[in-house]
Amino acid sequence: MDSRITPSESDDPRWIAQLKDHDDNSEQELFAVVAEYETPDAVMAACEKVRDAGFRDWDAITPFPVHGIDEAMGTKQSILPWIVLGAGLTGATVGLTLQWWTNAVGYPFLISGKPMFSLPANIPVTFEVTVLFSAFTAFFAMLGLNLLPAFYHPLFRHPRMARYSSDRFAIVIEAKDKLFDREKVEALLKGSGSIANEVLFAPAKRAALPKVFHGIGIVATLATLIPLAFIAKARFTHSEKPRIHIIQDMDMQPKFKTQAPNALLAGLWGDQRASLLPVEGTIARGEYVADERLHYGQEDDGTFVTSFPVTVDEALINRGQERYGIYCSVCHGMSGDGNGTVNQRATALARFGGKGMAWAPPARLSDERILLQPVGELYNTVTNGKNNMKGYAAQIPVEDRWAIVAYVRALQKAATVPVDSLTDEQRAELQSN
Amino acid sequence: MASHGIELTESDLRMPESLRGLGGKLMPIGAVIAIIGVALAFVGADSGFKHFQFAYLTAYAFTMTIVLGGLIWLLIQHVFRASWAVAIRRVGESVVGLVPLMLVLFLPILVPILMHDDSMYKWLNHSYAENDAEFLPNKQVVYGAYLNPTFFFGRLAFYFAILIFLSRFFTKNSVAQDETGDLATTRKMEKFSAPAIPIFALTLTFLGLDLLMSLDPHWFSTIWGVYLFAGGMMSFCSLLALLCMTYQKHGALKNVVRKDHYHDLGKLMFAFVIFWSYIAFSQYILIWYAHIPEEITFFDKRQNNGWEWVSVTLIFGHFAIPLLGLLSKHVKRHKPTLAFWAVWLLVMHLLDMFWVVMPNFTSGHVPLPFATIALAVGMLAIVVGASIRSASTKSIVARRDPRLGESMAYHNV
Ligand code: HEC
Repeated sequence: MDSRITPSESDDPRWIAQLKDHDDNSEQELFAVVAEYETPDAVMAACEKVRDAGFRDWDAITPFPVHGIDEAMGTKQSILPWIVLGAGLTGATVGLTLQWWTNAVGYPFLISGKPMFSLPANIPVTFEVTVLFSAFTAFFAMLGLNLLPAFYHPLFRHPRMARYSSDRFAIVIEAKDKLFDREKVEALLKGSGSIANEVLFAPAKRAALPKVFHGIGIVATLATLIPLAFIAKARFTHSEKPRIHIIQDMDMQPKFKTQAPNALLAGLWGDQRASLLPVEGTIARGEYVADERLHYGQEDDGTFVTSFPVTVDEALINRGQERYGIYCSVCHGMSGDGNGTVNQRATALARFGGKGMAWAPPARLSDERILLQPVGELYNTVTNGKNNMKGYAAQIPVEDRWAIVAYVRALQKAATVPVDSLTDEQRAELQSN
Repeated sequence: MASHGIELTESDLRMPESLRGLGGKLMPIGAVIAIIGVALAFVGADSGFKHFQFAYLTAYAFTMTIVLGGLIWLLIQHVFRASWAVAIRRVGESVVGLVPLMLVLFLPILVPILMHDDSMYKWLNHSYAENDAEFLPNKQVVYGAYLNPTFFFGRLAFYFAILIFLSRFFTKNSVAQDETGDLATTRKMEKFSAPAIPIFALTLTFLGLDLLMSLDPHWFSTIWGVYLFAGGMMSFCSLLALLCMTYQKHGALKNVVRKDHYHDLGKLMFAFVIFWSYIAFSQYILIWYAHIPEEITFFDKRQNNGWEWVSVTLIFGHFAIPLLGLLSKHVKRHKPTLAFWAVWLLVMHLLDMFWVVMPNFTSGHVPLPFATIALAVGMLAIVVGASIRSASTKSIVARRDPRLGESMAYHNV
């Protein structure tokens, strides 16, 4: 499809008529003079001429980005980078403020001992929000600066436009330019290495946006405020109703809770329990209790055992020491004095006015009351917990629990030895630490 | 595309005498500065052979990462069939071709450890490894299978073999094309650059792991190789910009290298400032958050006893300040300001390596940096001198590369 237009062809009045808008009723006016070029080099050279002639309302159309054409056209640097910089800084501020407010002010929550507001933890989100704001702003501001999206532009009527987006180049000088003078412009472009010049007409009056769209726009803008209004209302009012479950899957899982009834099974087993009873005469894996003293630390009559149901040797105590270090020392302290790191932190927080905080300090393990407890009772505390302390049955296997009890006994011994009974060497050693 | 038809004359291809002279002078000057550095290691509070060893390793890590940054830069140009860099590629290649020289410069590190000096690499000492293995049972495997002297030296030989091969392959072929003008050479380099990149990446990672990470055998970080790559690439681009400016100051490359090339180098410097920070921060936050004793020691050392000031200097000097400084296009297109930031980043890269290596020497305080600085400056001067010397024996532009015209006419805005 070679439809090369020669300049003589473009002088043809039919050609110009064709460039008029189809709407014959409307009054036509001169829109622009268009010149066509074959190569990027040619259009670049022509751009330099137009630029030097001082025109402002003009543009070059190329099917692909031509390196260096900005300079040739004398285009000023876009303000887009500054807009994006502003958006990026806003994003960083928003990201950081959001985290600071939610973590340290709105809903303070202690996570693995880190400060409520600590910069390292907040960098990733800040970074992401910065990028998000910058990227969106870059995209939309670019569209805005280019007056896009545009549903109509007089150039779209130009039959050669298809070529300008595939293999030809063009310069368009619009009639609204202050320096525009049809003859002069045509002469300038003819002498600029173009292979064709055309004059483009467009309706004098552009069709306006139908009124109804204004209405739709206003309503849509107002509608976006509705969710915000709801959020604001929710923040400042109280409600007895259960909260709205936005992510249903998490909150309402299709499963039966342990103590809930199950109507489905009722017909089959005649029993409405969600958890079925074990089949008569069977026992679940891992639930077999061979030795009740070992397992529960109790005699048949329910009193606590007073002797260890396991052999106590050095290996057991060492194991106990290690497990104690892992599970108990955070609260009870390495020496069992009840002042582990959790306690230190909690007392510190309480001192600085932790809001509504009540702290029951962990027990001192060498208290006389605890000294007198039988081993079975200590074992029971570790297994099932006591008052404010929770049980560790789920985390610590039976043998390890006994090992810990053995070690607690050792700690108690160590804490209750009278100073007088120590040899000089032992004292020296203790003082050296 | 839009080649404005620049014709290269013979004088554009040859290195001016004054520049060649500078190259010749730089090597002895560098050697003298390095010797001063050696002497400085033996004065002051921390004086001694051990100080020399650590300072030398810092300087070496600084220079080596720059040369290897150059190698990966070159591979990336080829794999992307990049045209912009063709005009400055030969200048870069003259640095990349120096991997054999880096092997020679490695000897002062290698010889003592070959003679069973374990003051830098503690694990070379048998009893250390054994005691430690008892203390940390899961490290036993590491000491036995990986960190043992025989395997260590074997690996080093292997890394250098790979690196020398890669650097030779790409520099030799490029020079060969000057004579033949063969398009197949370009295609061969492009094709081979793709598998070369993962090979290089693994080599750099393991080299960094063996030379730097094993200084603290308890510590490990899986992002280590990337960290070194980021710093190296940033510093190489800085060095390349400075080299091109030096060439031009002596009248070379004046029709060939334009603002647009500096602009692109500046963009790479800027990008790798950010990339380094991104990697450094990723490494930091994971270790900080998990707070595992084995890992946290690395940052613990660097946050106490004065090292915290070095760390803070890095955050600002290696990230925040150059980030803002290099942001503007005008800075990147203006030679003097770009030169300023290039020097700045090189200094920061040296500080980074100091921060990586030196806490293993004295974690209790920050040692005086003068020995390290003199050694690093000396070594860099030797490398730059050698690169100019090696460039002087051939055309200073890859003159028959098919994309040269495009590169010279390249516009950036
Ligand atoms: C989260 C903190 C915490 C941990 C961990 C913890 N405890 Fe406790 N413990 C407490 C508190 C608090 C009390 C005091 C409970 C009370 O009387 O309200 C307590 C009380 C006790 C008592 C005294 C019970 C009594 O008879 O009054 C014993 C014994 C004990 N803990 C042993 C252990 C052992 C052994 C472990 C390790 C398996 C352990 N604790 C782990 C917080 C903890």
